[in-house]
Amino acid sequence: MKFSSFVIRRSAFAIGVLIGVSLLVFVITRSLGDPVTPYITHTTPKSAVELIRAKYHLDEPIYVQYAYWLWGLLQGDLGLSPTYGYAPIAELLLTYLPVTAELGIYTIVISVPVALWLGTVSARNKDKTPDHLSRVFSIAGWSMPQFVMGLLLMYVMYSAHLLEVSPTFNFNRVTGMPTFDAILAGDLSGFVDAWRYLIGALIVMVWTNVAIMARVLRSSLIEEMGKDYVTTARAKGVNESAVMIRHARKNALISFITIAGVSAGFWLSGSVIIETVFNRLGIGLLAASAATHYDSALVLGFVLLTGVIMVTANFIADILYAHFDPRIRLGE
Amino acid sequence: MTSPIVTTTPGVSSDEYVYATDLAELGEVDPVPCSGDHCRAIILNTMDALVWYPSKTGELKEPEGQLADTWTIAPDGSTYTFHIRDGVKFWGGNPVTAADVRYTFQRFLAYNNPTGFGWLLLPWLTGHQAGEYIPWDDISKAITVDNATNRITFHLTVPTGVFLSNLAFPIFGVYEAKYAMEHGSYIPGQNVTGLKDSKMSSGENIMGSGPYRLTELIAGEGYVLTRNDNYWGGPPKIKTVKVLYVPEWSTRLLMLKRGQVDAAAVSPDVASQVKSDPSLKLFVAPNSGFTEAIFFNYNIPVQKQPAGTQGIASDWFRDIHLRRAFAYAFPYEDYAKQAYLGYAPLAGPAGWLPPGQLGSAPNGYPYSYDPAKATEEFKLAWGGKVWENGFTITYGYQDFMKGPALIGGQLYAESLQKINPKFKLIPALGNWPSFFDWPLAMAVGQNGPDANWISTVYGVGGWGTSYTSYDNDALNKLLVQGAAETDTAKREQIYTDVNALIATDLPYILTVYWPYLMAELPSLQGYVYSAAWQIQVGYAPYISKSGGT
Amino acid sequence: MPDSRTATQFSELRRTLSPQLREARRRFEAILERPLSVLGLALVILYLVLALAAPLLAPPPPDSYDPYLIPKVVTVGPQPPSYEHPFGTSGPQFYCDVFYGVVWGSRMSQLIALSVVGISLIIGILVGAIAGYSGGLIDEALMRTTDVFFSLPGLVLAMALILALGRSVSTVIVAIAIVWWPGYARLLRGEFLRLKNELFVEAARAIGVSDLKIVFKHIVPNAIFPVLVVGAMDVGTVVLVASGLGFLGIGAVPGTAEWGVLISVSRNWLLQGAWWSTVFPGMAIFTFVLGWTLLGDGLRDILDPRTLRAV
Repeated sequence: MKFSSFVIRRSAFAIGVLIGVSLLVFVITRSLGDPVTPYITHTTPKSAVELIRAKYHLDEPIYVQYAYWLWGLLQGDLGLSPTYGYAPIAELLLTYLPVTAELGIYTIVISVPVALWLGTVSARNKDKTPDHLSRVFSIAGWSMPQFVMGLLLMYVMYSAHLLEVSPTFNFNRVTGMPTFDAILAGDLSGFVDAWRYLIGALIVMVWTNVAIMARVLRSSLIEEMGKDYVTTARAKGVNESAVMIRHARKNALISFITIAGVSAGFWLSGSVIIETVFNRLGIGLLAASAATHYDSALVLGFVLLTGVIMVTANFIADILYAHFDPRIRLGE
Repeated sequence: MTSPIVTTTPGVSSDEYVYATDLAELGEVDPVPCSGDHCRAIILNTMDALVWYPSKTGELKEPEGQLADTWTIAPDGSTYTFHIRDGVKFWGGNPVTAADVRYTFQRFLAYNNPTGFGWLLLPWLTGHQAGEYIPWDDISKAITVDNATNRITFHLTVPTGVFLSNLAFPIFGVYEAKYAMEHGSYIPGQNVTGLKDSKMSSGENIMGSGPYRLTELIAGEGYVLTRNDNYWGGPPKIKTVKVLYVPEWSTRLLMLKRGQVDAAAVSPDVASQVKSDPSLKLFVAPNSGFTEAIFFNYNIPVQKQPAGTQGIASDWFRDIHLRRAFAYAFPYEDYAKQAYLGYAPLAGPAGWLPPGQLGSAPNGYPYSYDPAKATEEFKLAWGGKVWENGFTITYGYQDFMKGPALIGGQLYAESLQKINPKFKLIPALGNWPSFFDWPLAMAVGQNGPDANWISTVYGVGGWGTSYTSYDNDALNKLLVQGAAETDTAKREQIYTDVNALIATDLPYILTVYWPYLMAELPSLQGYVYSAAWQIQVGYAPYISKSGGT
Repeated sequence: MPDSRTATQFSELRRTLSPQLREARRRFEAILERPLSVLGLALVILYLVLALAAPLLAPPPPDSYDPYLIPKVVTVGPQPPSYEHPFGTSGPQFYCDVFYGVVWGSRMSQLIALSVVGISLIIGILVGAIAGYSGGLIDEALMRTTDVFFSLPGLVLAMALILALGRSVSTVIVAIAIVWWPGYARLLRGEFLRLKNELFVEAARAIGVSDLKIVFKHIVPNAIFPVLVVGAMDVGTVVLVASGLGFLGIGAVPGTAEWGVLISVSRNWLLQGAWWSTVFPGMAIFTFVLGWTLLGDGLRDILDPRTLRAV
């Protein structure tokens, strides 16, 4: 089928999944007690509470409630967070999102080339020493919980006098990402401080990401290398490197794009843990403190945001996937 | 709000005061709905009030004038007239007049938010309770002004001796009426019940006269105050005050050591880390202004209890033997030691009001850990049925008290198990105020600066009794008397009687006086924590830095 | 000296060993050939033994009503490892004996992991079998449902579910199981679709064997191997998630013998030098997950007929 109709089909699918996520979240909200709670504060008088009840049609059948709840969502009304002084949740999430995004950007930028290199090296030297070393690295990276890795790293960095400060108020706030804001403001010491704030979390994220990505890439590459067209190319006498570069790598890149889509989920759940360990004021920390404070509206707001990000990431991954591999489009 | 470009240079400069807080409630600046620590800190530092507790060295004496330089109180306590001092200007340049003060208070009455601090004045000023709609007539006749002499008069429908002290609570900061009205805020006469003024909440419409202005507020992150150079009391030494939200202790400690903050909130369990560090000082407030208690629920909603609860009825705690038994079963010393490492003095035997305060009695809470007596009382409770059948109940607490409250719960559960294996106590975390639905709930309440704060917990209309349904007629009458009485000696006698009643009736279990600890750099001078203000950041004009960076 | 008659009997037995047993023995020997898999197996057995021997290694105090509540060692600060407390103590505010916590924590972790994997395997296999065999609308509906679950990271969804269900060890198990089953359903369905058109199924159908019998007697046993391999590795992964939740403060109550919870109560003292209360539970989690991951890895290489596939 044509690329454009593929895109349309995939979009419809993505929207369907998003609606499914919203349904799941809605079911959870309705099992938490009075549905009006996220929209009021402890000072809201009874009359105002009744007004809000009417606005969301909370006395009507559940499917009506869902419609108005969803409508409120699309307008940006996720409720209020008691933990953060009844600030609107959408506002909180947007304020804290850049810090999480910053970590994600640097993680992807660093781990993709490293994983590519590692995966290629492992595939080329299958079952030899470099492969075994990389396997050990991957399994160790996978088995070590991120919070333990993070805490031990903090301890080591602290003992070596590398970790000295974790600034939490970004005075240069333009994008909300400390390193970029420091660059924009031409603030060198601010930039260094912002990097000090980032480095521990970044090391943990990169390690765990590379551990998984390298492994997957290795297996994809090996699978591709065993494929007929590669053997044929080899039989024809095409140079080994050329074979790798042109054929196998491209197809492996496709598996890779899929993994990048999945690592969006890894980044989001990892950020909950890593931001808690390194005290970074991102949406992960927001979600973690919300959960311990029983702030269900904020947790669910975070769940919705995560769903949107993941569905979008997977959507983009699928589109790229289809662009590189026409067989996928035909198979649909 | 966009931010000015300021660099994060290492170390804090000598004209800055930076505080790392562990409380997240940074949202509203509007005094009317304000109840949290940070909004009150902003009010104290950016707005002047009629009267206040200067508390220069943390002591609590009589309130002194701030905007008001003289005042008269009618002998029967029914009117208070204040003269606004000359020469005070708002930041915008307009003079502070009695009309502005009236506007400030009228907003309290008109919005009447039930859980703000408006209740400090409302019942006496208007006869209405917090949360009720107050008709404009009642509001307009409660407060009158004389523009010619710049005087404001409060006409109380219920005379009381606590009015002045309540007025001095750091919530009634004054802002300019004209500025607020011109920018879309409350117009006197409007019905604003149940509404919220977002421009006031963000601080946009607040034109104050105080020593600092709020120049930045980011929800969940912190705020910045900048000095008012034209302050009538003289410009403060510190130019910029920054309050940062840093939830995790190790990070706060690191920031202190690096010199990135001057002061940081500390919890008692890690206080030893501060004490053992020669580069830091540990500040321990003699009186935090809060008492901690375990509240009995006198009308337990049995259907709302978690599965597995058994052995209780809705009026379970009406039996004095049961209450005494629970009071003797709580391991006070162990608790104070493990949860607070000795930084929290036991509330017994003095009682809710700490020793040294007016109204405190030597024996307001004469109960201590005594498993033998507890066993006796349990056997007498409900004719022996409690002992025979045992019980399984939930003990609730809020997240911000998590550490100590949970430890208290665990120790309590162990102690009860030892007394009778059929006694099961299950600690559980809950939200305010629903955790009060459980038979036992641990919470803190204010105990000052005036003795009348005790009625927030024991008297009718207070939050304590509204959640626990405790209702003691004789006590209510005494508390109302105590509030209304203007003569100090007579008040003392009344509160002695109050304490005697509380000691015998045992409405709640009192555990400790809640501590407030802070870690500071030695260069920080003049920091005061006052039980009258109950805020972490303190009053910035008192602060200066020695040495210099 | 072995009896000659016994020797003859043995060789007879060996010759008559059925091909399956020979196959199984070959595969077991294959495990032993791979050092990493042996390591994995050893770790798994170690933790199993540790969990079973918990009451002996770290006896709970006589008046304790819950062995999972770590007995308190009240001191002003955390204590380094010593004779009485081999892994040290965690200090204020929960005063945990780290050794006790690690030992009983191994019991808690395996309890959680095996329950989660067990429950979600059952649900996943059922759903996957139904979807794979029915096809059409039912398959479509079930797969869309799993898509919804896949679009939310496991930890995040588990957090939200625990909020709704309440905080306790059992709700942690239920919440993670709800997050986990879609993976198995998808996997099993994939295997189903692959096997549905295999010859032996066609043959069974031709003979007239009932659908249900085909599913449960023929397809499922063959489809189950990849799922079991993933299940083995998942025992480790579930502990990663559960200890993560414990660390965040969402799982069991502080003071409970759970590795993640133990690490979270130790946080305030780590930078003061109290490495033991983070390192010991942390290494426990690491080696536990490592063991099951290596074992699963090894199983995959052995049980997967397509052993040419790497990883």
